[in-house]
Amino acid sequence: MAGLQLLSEYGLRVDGRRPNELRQIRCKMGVFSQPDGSAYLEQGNTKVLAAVYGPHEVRLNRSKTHHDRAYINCQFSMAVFSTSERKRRPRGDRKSQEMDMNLNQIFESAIRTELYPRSRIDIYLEVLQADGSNFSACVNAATLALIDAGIPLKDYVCSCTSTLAPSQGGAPPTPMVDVNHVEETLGGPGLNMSTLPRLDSVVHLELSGTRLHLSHIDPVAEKASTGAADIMAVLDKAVRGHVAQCLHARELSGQGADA
Amino acid sequence: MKEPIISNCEKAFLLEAISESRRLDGRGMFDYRDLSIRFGKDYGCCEVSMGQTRVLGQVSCEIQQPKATRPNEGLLHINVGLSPMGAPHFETGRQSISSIQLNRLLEKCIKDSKCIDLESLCIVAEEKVWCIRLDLNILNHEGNLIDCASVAALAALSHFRRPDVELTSEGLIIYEAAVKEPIPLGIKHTPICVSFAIFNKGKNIVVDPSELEERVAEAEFTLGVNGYKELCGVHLSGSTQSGPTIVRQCANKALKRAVSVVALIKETLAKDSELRGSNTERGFVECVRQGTITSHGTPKICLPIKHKLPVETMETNHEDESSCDEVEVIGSGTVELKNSSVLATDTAEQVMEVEEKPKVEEIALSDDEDEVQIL
Repeated sequence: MAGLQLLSEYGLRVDGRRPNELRQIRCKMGVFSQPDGSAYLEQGNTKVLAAVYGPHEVRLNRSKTHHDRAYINCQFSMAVFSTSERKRRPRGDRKSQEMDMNLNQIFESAIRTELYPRSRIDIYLEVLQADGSNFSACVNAATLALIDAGIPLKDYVCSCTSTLAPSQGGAPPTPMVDVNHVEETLGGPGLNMSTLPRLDSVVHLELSGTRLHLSHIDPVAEKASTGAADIMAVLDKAVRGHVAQCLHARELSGQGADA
Repeated sequence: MKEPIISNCEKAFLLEAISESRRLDGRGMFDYRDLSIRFGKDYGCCEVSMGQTRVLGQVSCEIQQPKATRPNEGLLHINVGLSPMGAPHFETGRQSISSIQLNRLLEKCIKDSKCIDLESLCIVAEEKVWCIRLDLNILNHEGNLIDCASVAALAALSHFRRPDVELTSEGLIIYEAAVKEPIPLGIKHTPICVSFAIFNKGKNIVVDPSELEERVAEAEFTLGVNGYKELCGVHLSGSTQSGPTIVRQCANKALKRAVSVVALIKETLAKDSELRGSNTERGFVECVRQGTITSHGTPKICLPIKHKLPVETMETNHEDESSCDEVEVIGSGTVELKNSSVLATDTAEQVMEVEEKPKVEEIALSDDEDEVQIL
């Protein structure tokens, strides 16, 4: 797409957002009956489903049990219809293994695994529609699913991406938050940061795409960090709304207000 | 085989030492281990060692059909093999976490950042291109595999020469090295990975972590930097606080390191081409002669112990105390001196013996060489 500018002269991005605007986040918890916790999250046009099973006994791979904490197993998968071209994704290839591994590490730092020794928590993620920031959307959805499952977390795990629009007309390059598919593929670096916002803790940091000059790393990292904090506000509101709804439903059905 | 478990007291000991800005092998917090690069006889073969961590890199090439989506670009494949030779818990199948991490990080740094000029590897568009394979083998794992592997990768790619080709009406002629001089690869920029281990909620950052430090650290942060101050890859695993500050601190250090490493690679390359020109022996002969290519020297642990504990049993021989400038106390336990001309051991029941040994490079230690018991 020649001539497509990431940031127009009016300061608007390709989808009409400002550089520090997140996409609209819609989410719903408790969408499935079988898993212990589930969530559906939309971040703009990126749609992700998350399901959590656990904590439960480790059956097949006894060797993977830890004596003092739970074993976390994450599986990330993109549906074949999620991209503009139907793409058959092999399950065991390196890229998806790397995503699984990153998710494992993120949630091992966030879940209070010491409360469930010798158990296993499974997190399954499916991307239904991929429009950029797929990994971040998955992390956010998984957080909601874990909360729905009642698994204790140290804090919300919020993930956000940020990129750098090339400089126009002498102005310094502008960092932009929450990249969509067009911004991801047109080039430019993409920094993906997952944090525990209230604890001011970073659990995952990844740079993809093209190279990023060292002098620009600060504004881009700050942008991702504040983006994650903003996402936390949205998720928190959603969780509280969901809990209030559940309590209300329980009262109506006469089961009493005790949890 | 499973990874050996680190005992709680070992972990606590290391963490306590790091919080006092001391490292177990006596390095400073920002000191790197000795980096040495040796090239082999063939072009594209190189062995890099950072302290005791050793990685062997080999580049090879062949002619293949290009990808359909990129018909006029060559192919580059990077593969890091973790064989059980490097560490007993490595498995030959490529499923382990560390192998995936290494592979992906190197791919990002070298392939995705377009460090090699792939378009120059095209011979006939849509039909024949050069496919460059970079194979890295971990020979010994003593921490910081990613740094060592990235240096080996860059050195091997910089050293490699591909055969010269000519497209004539009869077909493709590939010239042998003796007929036409082989051509080096086009390297656009020089990415190097630098790793940091983070402890104590981001308060202590350590450079070039050893194996134990890696496993105990709360987070490991790797930056891929090149000589033009650009970041080619960033990876943080674990959890740490105040992310952006840490990124800033580490970025500057990583840049300095990258610049010095690239300078070393260039220097070694220049020396190697000199040697090749002068027809002297080259390759790994030097390493084999020194006996260092396969030996695993145990690092000596020297800890200044500040508090003098009451000596429980017998009189200590004052002759050894004079030669040990740093270690003061011998309670009951094993202590090893840095200038190993005298080996002192002290156990509660036996009479103290002083053994004089000639200057040796490796001393047979007791099994718990990593632990110094102070009672």
